[in-house]
Amino acid sequence: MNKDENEPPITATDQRPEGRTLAETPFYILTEDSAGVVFSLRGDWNLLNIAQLEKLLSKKVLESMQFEDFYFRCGGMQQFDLSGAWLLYSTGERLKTLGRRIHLAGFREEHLKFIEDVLDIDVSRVVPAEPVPLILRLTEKTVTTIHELGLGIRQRFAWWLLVTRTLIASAAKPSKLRWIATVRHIGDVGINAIGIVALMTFLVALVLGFQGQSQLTQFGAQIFTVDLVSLSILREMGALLTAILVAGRSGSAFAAEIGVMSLNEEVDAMKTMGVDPIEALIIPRMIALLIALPLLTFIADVAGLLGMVSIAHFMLDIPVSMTIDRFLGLNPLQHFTAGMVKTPFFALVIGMIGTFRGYYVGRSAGAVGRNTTSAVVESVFTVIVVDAIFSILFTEMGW
Amino acid sequence: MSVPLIEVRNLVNQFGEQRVHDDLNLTIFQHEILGIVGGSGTGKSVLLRTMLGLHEPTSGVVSVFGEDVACKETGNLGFCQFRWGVLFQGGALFSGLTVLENVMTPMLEHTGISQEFARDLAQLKLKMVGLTHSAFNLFPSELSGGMVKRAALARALANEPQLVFLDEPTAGLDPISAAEFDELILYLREHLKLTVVMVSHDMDSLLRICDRLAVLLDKKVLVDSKEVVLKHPHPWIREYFGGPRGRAAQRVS
Repeated sequence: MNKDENEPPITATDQRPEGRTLAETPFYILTEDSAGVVFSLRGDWNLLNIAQLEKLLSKKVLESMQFEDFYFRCGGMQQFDLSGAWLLYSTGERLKTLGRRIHLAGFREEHLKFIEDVLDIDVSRVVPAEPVPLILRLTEKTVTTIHELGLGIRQRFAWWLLVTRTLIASAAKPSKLRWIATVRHIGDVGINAIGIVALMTFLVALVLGFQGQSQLTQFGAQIFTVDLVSLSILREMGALLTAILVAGRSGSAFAAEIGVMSLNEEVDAMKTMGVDPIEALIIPRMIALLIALPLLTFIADVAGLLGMVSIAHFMLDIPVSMTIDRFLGLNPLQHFTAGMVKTPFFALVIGMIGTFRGYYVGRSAGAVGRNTTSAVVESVFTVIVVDAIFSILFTEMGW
Repeated sequence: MSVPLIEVRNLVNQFGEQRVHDDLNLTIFQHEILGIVGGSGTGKSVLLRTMLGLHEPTSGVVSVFGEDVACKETGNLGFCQFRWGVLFQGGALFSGLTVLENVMTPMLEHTGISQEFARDLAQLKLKMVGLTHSAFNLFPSELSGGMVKRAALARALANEPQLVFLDEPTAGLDPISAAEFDELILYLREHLKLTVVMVSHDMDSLLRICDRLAVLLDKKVLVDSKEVVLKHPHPWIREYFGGPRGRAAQRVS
């Protein structure tokens, strides 16, 4: 698009052009004369109005396609900026590809530099990549997914090894353990969760008892509600629900905390100081989980049994002493142990997955969010898988 | 350059017991480049944040474009936010968007333009600040420090602002990039009729491009042309500009 040097300069005053007026808008007067179609620009051609201008101009240009020559007289514009310049330029380029001739003229001194700017800058656009056929894209996606899965498994395996090794080393040399951090994490993971864990298992016990008794009374076997609730709480619900809750509360917190720390180069800073980040960040969290989760499970069991006693007492009118007798006759210690044995494994799973997700976070805020989500989903899923494995084992062992 | 664009009147900022600004007055005129300097903890950032309406001062009036920004909740500043651009110290590019999308965001937010037009304009701005095609579709985490500054400047310029705030624009850049950045700011000021307010510790940059310097001293501000400020007898200014770094920069400029 060339500026027409021969065109006489047009000042702001002689806005009203010769010829037949075709259209009038706040931004231009459109006239037709012997030479072609003339846009006499006026008003503010800046970013504030650009959306409106874009629509108006493209519409008018399309309507004027019968003309060979397009004249733009630019002296009447009040405000003009880069966006206005770009609009004029791109409209001109489009017209040129359609075989029309463009004459831009009469810029005011202070406006001229914007249009020169647009002409100066190499305005070639990024060529969008050729669209790849769907079948190729799918194959590629599958291959990369499998590849990444393989990498992920290897990386996870390495992480388990690394953390386990450091854990054992710490256990062998407890003076190296960071006690203050560990205690703080026990507070976060354990003590702060007591209320919610207790309330949750209490309510679940109530629900279980309520549903159970409505079936069992049909057979006149209300007393078996005690068996039903106490067994499910001690063997499964206490440990499993606590682990799921802790995975949601603390697994996500670990992933987010460590993720932000590695984004912030804090992890790198530790490494350069000769501080082992595994030892300083991961081990205290793992130990906190290993200590807190069994204790929380114990509290959950107690709260669940309280729920069982309350439903027996208030709904089934079974005296408390009778409930306790029935309960003690069930060999509760064995069931309690069966539930408790699983908790260290749950703790390991939650800790390993949460910290892994935080440690290998990408370099953006979005990655922290994604990794936190996956930490929770992955650890809840794995906890349930581990629980299922234990169920099978216990059945096989006749526990 | 006599039209005041920003007026700070009797500004007081206090955090607990600590008073950072006490009865501070500052006027910034159209089309000038004002450099704000001061020791650590003298409240440069607080002053900047107050002017941007991000921090509510303890008392005082801050008006930008004749609008009082000091006593409003952010979000009420639509009028100003369309007409100013801010380059944050760390770039503050949105990490989930590419460079191009970062520059498009303020345009799409405030004008009704089409995606395609916004993309073209954003490319134009990015080229104006000296970035090349290869960088447009990268994410902020994949950029070098200098590219981050440039991309952030392009985003600050997205809405054709009249007023640009720069927080340490050349910090962390190598001397060549810093000098280029200085020239870029001068060029843009000339070109887009910008008013520039910058906080900086870069002595070369301050002496090269600023018209006036505002020195935060004793909870107030001393503002004058750089020649006058350089000759001021205050001991901190003597130490700041008379120290080895300041003298070297003065010799060069």
